[in-house]
Amino acid sequence: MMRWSHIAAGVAVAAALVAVALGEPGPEVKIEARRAALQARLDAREVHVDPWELHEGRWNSRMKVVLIDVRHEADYNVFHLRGARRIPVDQLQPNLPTAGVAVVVMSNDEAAAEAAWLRLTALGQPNAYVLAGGVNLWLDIFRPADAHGHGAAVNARSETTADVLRHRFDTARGASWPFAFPPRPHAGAPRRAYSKTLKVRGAVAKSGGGCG
Amino acid sequence: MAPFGYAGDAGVATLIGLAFGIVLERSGFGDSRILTAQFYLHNMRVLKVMFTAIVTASLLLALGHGLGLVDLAGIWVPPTHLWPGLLGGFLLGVGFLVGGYCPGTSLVASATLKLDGLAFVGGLVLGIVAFNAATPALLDFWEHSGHLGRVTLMDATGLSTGAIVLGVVVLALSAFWVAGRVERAARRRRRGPVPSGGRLT
Repeated sequence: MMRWSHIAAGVAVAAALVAVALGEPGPEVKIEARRAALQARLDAREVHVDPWELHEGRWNSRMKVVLIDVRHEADYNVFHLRGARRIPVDQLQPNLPTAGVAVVVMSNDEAAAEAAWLRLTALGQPNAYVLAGGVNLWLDIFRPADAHGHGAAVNARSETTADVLRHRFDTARGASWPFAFPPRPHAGAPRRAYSKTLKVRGAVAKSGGGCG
Repeated sequence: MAPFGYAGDAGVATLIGLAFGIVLERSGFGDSRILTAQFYLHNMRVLKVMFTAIVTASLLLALGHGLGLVDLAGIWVPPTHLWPGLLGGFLLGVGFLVGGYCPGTSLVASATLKLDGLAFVGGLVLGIVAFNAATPALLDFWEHSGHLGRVTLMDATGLSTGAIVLGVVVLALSAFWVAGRVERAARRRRRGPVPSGGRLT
């Protein structure tokens, strides 16, 4: 006669086999499941970090910031922020540091960075942000005015959706440009007004596991 | 994140805790003799109940994950600190065997006013105070040694969640079968050898 324990064991094995058959949901499934909610956050600009806030954050010893550049390799080689790592959007995985770390994703404007942010966040990466205005706005703010006429800040939201580098460079120097890591802002120096976005969740204290 | 609001989440946590305590008490885990019998292999109830709970939770999580209902990446997994974990587990095991309880079951026993449970909880509180006082000296070992971060069996083996859970289910069923045989052998040992003749007088 079948005992209830045998029935339970059979149910458990069957359920495990179903779990094996279901497999791992692919990243696209996860992204689509969360797309609407995450797009709403992007539209509300909840995760857009002003370049000046990022600049001050990089000098804050209590904040660790990881920079991810999702632009084309050619643009990256011409100029990128010092410390920025280039990862194409389709290769982004939620395996970046988490505890106490802010991950800021950037493109020339915002389109590619927002797509990258959506992918990263949907796949579980916490503390991810988008560089508002992208590299173009960073250069508008920090690149000294020169013969090319650059230097004046423009509106945070780019007028173009083409996500192309609007600044011209005569040579490709990557992060060697001085404005790739501008000097520390001095107290009393003029600063750009921004609404604070970066909120880094610190490392979660160890929880007692409890053994029951 | 508070899906039911903070008050609602606290309420849900209270209900879960209540249910957990009831299950432990009804399983007999408020009795230190049943708990320590596990170590002497007389009664494998602790292994059976805990492994059943592990299998149930694992199956529900794996099925939820496969159906896209649960995001495993969003579930808190304590980071692995290898050496502190080994030492702490060893100390917990010694305390379990000597005292007859682990922290949770000592609360279950205390809830039914068992004196040994109350004594265990008192010792637990003293131990917590002593550990906190010693934290500056232990901090480096506790925080940094053997720190492997958030590691799951899926990360370590590269296998899918379903495959890992199937392995856990097979392991659990094997463990239950072995536990049954161990219990029967222990009972035979306690009854002792049957006298020759074997007839009632």
